[in-house]
Amino acid sequence: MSSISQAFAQAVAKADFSSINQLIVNTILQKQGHVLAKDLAQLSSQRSYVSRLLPLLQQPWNQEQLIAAGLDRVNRQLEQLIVPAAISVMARFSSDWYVIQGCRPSPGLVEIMVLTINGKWSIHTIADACFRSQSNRYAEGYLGYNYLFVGIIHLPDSPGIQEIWINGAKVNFEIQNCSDSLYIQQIDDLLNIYRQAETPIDRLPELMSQGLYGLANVLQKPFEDTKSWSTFIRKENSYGKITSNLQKISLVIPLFHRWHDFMQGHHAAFSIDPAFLQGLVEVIYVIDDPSIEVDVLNWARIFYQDSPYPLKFLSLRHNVGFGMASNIGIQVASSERIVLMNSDVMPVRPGWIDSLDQTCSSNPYALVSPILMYDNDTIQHVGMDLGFSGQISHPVPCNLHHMKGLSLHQFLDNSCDHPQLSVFALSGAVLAFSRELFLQIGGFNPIFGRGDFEDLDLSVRWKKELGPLLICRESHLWHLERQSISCASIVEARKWQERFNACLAFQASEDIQKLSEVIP
Amino acid sequence: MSILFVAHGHPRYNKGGAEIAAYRLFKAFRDSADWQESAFLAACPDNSMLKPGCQVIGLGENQWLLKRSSDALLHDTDVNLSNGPHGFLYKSLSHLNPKIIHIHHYVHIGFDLVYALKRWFPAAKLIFTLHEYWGMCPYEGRLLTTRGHLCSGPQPDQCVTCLGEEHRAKLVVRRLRVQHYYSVFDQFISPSYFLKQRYVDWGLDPYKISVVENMLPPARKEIVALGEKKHNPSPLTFAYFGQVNPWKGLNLILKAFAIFVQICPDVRLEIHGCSIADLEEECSPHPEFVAELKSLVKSIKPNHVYFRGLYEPEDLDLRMAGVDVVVMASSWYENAPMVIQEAFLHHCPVIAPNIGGMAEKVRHKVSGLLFNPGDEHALVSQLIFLANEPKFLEELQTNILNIPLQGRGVFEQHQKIYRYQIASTIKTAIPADVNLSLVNPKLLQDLACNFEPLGANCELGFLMGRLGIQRSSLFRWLFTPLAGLELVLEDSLEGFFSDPVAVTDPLMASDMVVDRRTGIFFHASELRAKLEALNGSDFSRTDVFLDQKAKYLYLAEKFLASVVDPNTLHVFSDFHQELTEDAMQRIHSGLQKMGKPLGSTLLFVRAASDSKEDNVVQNLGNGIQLASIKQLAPGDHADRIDLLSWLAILNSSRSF
Repeated sequence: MSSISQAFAQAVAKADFSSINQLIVNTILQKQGHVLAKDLAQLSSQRSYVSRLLPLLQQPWNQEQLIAAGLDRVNRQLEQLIVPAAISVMARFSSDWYVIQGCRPSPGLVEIMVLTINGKWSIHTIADACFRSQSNRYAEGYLGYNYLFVGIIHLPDSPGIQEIWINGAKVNFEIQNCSDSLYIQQIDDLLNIYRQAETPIDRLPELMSQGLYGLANVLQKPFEDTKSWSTFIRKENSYGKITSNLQKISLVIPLFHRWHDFMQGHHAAFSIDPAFLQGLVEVIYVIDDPSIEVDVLNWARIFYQDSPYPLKFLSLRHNVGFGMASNIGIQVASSERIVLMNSDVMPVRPGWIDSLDQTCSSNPYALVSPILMYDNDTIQHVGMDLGFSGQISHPVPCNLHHMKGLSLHQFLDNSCDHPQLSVFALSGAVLAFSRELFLQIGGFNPIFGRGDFEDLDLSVRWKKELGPLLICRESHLWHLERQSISCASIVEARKWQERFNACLAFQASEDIQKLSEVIP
Repeated sequence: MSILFVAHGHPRYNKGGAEIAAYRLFKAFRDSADWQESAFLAACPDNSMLKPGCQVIGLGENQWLLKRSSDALLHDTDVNLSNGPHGFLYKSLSHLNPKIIHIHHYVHIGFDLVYALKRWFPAAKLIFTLHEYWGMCPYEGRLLTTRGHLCSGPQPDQCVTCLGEEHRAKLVVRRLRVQHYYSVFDQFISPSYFLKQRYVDWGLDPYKISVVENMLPPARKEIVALGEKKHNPSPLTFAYFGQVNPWKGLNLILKAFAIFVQICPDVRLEIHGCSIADLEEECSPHPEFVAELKSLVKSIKPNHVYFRGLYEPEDLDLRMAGVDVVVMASSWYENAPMVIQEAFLHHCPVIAPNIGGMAEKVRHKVSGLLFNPGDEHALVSQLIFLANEPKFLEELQTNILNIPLQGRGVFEQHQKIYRYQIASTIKTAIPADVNLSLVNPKLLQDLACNFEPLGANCELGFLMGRLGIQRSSLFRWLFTPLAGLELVLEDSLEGFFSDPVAVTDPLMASDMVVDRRTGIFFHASELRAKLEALNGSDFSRTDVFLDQKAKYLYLAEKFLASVVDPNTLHVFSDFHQELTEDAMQRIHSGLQKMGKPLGSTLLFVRAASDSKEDNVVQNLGNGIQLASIKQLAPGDHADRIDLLSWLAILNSSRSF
C-alpha cells in the first residue's frame, strides 16, 4: 500500500476529517488518486471509506482537478458500494441534541456523517440499534428498506445541520423541531420514535447508555432549580374554610386526566373525617393537566364554596408529570407534615390521616406509607422489595410488592405486631413525611416525567440520606391503581414509559446499580 | 312552619309507591294548620320537558320539578347548585325557611342536591325515608342480581359482577359517596322492620331509624263494607296490582294461574296496571319479559285473565271493589308495598311470597297467605286452598277488618319525629351520678321519644326520671298486677278507672287508690281523700272524679298513640314475679289488637335467677323480648333502681 493510501487509512479510521480533507488536497496536488483507487480496490472492506471519505469527496471540489488527480475514479468506486438509506425522522430535541430514525436494506453498523451549517464534520455510529422490520417493506422492483435504525446525535456548539450521509449515502431530511416541547411530551416523542423504529422493548436498557439517558438528563434540566418550581403555577384558587391555626397537615393530590369521580370520592371521605372537619388538614389539588382545569375549577367553585375544610387548587401551566406536580404542591404547602396522595386513592374510613401523622410524629425522619388495598380489601401495597429483570448485562429494576393479594386480616395476622413495619421501598401512591426533609433531598427526581419508579428512586435516596421507610398498619386506603390513565390505546405507550422509567431508575442511582450485582 | 319534601318523582307523572307516599305526606302536612308553608320538589320525569337552559319548572304553589339526574351509580345532581346568579334552583327555594327537609329518594335527584339543601338551609333537620335498598345495592337498589337472584348484600366483587368490571373504580367512589350521604341525616324512616334491619346490618345506627308506614290516602266513605263487596261472589276474583317488570313476578302468577284454572275453573285473574297493548314488545323496556307474559296468557284458557289497564290512585276503590284476593309474587324483598296496605284498606287478603317486607306485612293465615318465593307450585297450592275454603277466605276478610290498619297514625308519627327533631337541640338532662361515658346519647334520645312503661310498679317511673324523661305516661306511676294489665289491654282501655276505691292495705302507700275492676293501684292523694270523705256513696259525678277522669283520658289517648307507633318500646317489669310465656303472649296479643305493629318491641324484664343471666336480653320473636336484670328495685324503695343494669338491657333491646 502506498504512503498516501496509508495516510488515508489512518485518517479514515480515526474519522479525522480535517486530515482527510488535507489528504484530498494533497492528492489533487500530487495527482495520486489512481494510487488510492488501486489500493482501495484491493481492500476486502471499503465500508469505512464509503462512510467517511465519500461524503468529503462529494463536496464541491473542482471536478477537473479531481479528474486530473484520478480521484473521480475513487469517487465512482466508492459510489458503487453505497447501500441506500432513508431518514424517516430527524428531530431536534434541544439546541445540540437530535434523534434520527431511518431505514436501510441491510443490517449492521450505521455510520452517520453530519456536516453542520458552520462547516464542521462529525460522525455518529449506531452499533446495535438496527432492527429488522416486522412488516414487509419490499416494493416491486426496488430494494427493500427492511432494517430500521434509530439513534441520538449530539452536535455540541452547532448552529444546525447542513447535510447528512448514512454509510456514504447522501439522504434527504427535514428537521422536526421539538426543542420547545414540554419535557413529558419530549419523552413521549422520543420513545415514540424508538417504537416506530420497531425497537424491541427489551433492548431499551442497553440503549440508555447510547444517548437516551444523557438526552433525558439534558431535557429535565429546567426542573432542577427548585426556585423555578413556583413559576410552573399559573393560578392558585382557594375554597372552603380559611386555613385555621390548628392546621398541621397538608394533603397534596396531583390531578391528571380523570378527576370528577375521584374528587367526589375524596370529598365524601374527607367530609366525614374529624381531622378534616376540625381544620387539621388543608387539601392541595395540583391540576397537572390544563385540559381539565376549567371543569375542575368550575366544579370546585360550587361544591367547595362552603367546604368544612380548606382547599387550594394549583393550576399548572402545563403537564409536568406526577413527580414534579408533587414537588410543586409540596413546596407550596403550608404545613410541615405532608401527606402526598394519588388521585385514585380513596380512604377506607376516617382516622387514616391521623394514624399517618402519629407515625410520622413518632419517627420524624421516616418516610411513611399506609396499607393500600384493592377495592375487595385485599393487599395492594405494604412496602416493596427491589428485584431485577432483563439481561444480566443490562438489569432492569422492578418493584416486588409484599403480600399482594392477601386479605388485610391475613396480612395483619402474619406480620409482626409492631405498629410500624420497616420496608425496603414504598409506593408513591400515598406517602407521609416532613416537608423540610423532602425538599432537602430535592424531592422527586424530575427525570421520571409521567410517573413510575420515582418512588423507588426517592425511597433509596431517603433511606440513604434521611431515615427509615415505614408502613403504618393502622392506616388503610383503597388504591384504584392506574385508573387515572384509562385509555386502552395508550397501553403500549404506557408500557414503554414504565420500562424507560425503570431504566432511568437504574441509571440514576449508583445504589441500585450496586444492588443489581448482589440481588439475583 | 314548613317542611320541604323531596322525591324522585311527582305522582302527576310517576305512579310508583314511594312517589305517591311522599306526595301524600306533603299534602297532609300542607293541609294541616301548623305546616301550611310546606313544599314539594321532585325530579322531572323526562328532561325533554325542560326548555333549553331551563333546570327547574314550577308546578303550582311551592311545588317544583328539577332536571332529572342521569347518573344512577354516583348519583350526581344535574342542576346548578350555586347560590350565585345562575343558581335557579336556589332562587326558587330561597324564600322557604324549612325546619325539616324530608328526602324520599336520591335516584334522579342526586346526592349533591341534599348537600346543597343542607348548605342553603343550615338550620333545617334532614330526614330520609328509606324506600328501597339503594344504599347497599348499586344495581337497581333491589338486592336482586342481574340474574334475578336475591343478593345477600354488598360485596365489592358481587357488585362488580352485576355492574361490570369497567365500573370497579366508580363503585369504590360510590361506597364513599353513599357513606357520606347517609352521614348527613339527622333521622331515617323505614316503612318496614325488614328494611330497617337490612340497613342496620349494613351499618346504619339503629337508634336513628324509626319505623313508620307509608301514608294511606285520606279515609273515604265509599269504601265498600265487608259483605257488600260483590253482588255476585262467583267467580272468585284474584287480582294483581302493580307495574309490569321482571321483578314484580307477574310471570310467576300467570304460570301458577295456568295450572290453577285447570283445577278450579270458576276463578279469574285481573291485572291492574297494564293493558294487553302494554305487552307489545316495542312498547316495553323489557321486551323479552312481556313476550313471555304474552305467551303465558295464551297458555291460559280464555275468560280467565283480564287486563284492566293503568289506574290512578283514586281509581283504587272501584278497582278493589270487585276483587276477593290480591296476589303478589315479587322476586325481590320489597319494602312495605303500598298495595298490601291498599288491599287491607279494602278488606282484601293478600297472597304474597314469604320474604322481606311482604312477609312482614302479611300475617300468614291471619291477613293472607304466604308462599315460597319463586315457586309457582307453592302459589298454586295457596290459590287452591283459598278457592276450596270460602269460609277461610271470609275469616281472613274478617280478621283484616278487625286488625288496626297500619298507616292510620302515620301523619302523627311523622309529626312526632319532625317536632322531636326541631326540639332536639335541647339536650336530655341526665342525673350527675350516672357515668355518662357508659351512656350512648342516641340511646337516650331514642328512649326519650319511645320508652313507654306498662308497670308493674313505680320503678319504671323512677327509671324514666333518671333517664331524663319528664313526660307523663299512663302506666308510669301505677302498681299493675299482670292480670289487671291483661284485662285493661284486652278491653282496649275500655272501662279502666271506672271503679276506684281508697286503698286500706297498710303495706301500700297512704295516697293510693285502687281500681276494683282491674286491681290496678295508683297514686292519687286528692282523689283518695275525696273517696274517704264520701264514705262509699256515689262519687262518679263529683268534680274530683271528673277532673281525674279528664287527666286519665288524656293519658289514655297518649298511650293509644304510643301503641300504634312502631318505634315504641313497651316495657313491663315483673316486680310481682308472675311472668309466664302465656302471659307474655296474652299481653302482646292485647297490644296487637290495639294496633301495635308486628315487630314493634315489647320488653319484659324480670329479676335474674342466676348471675350468668344478668342483663341478658333474649329475642322471642314478633318483637317480644325477655330480659333478666341483675336486680329489680325493692318493693318499699322503687326509687332504688340499678340504673346501669337497666341501661345495659335497654341498649341490648334497642340494638336488636
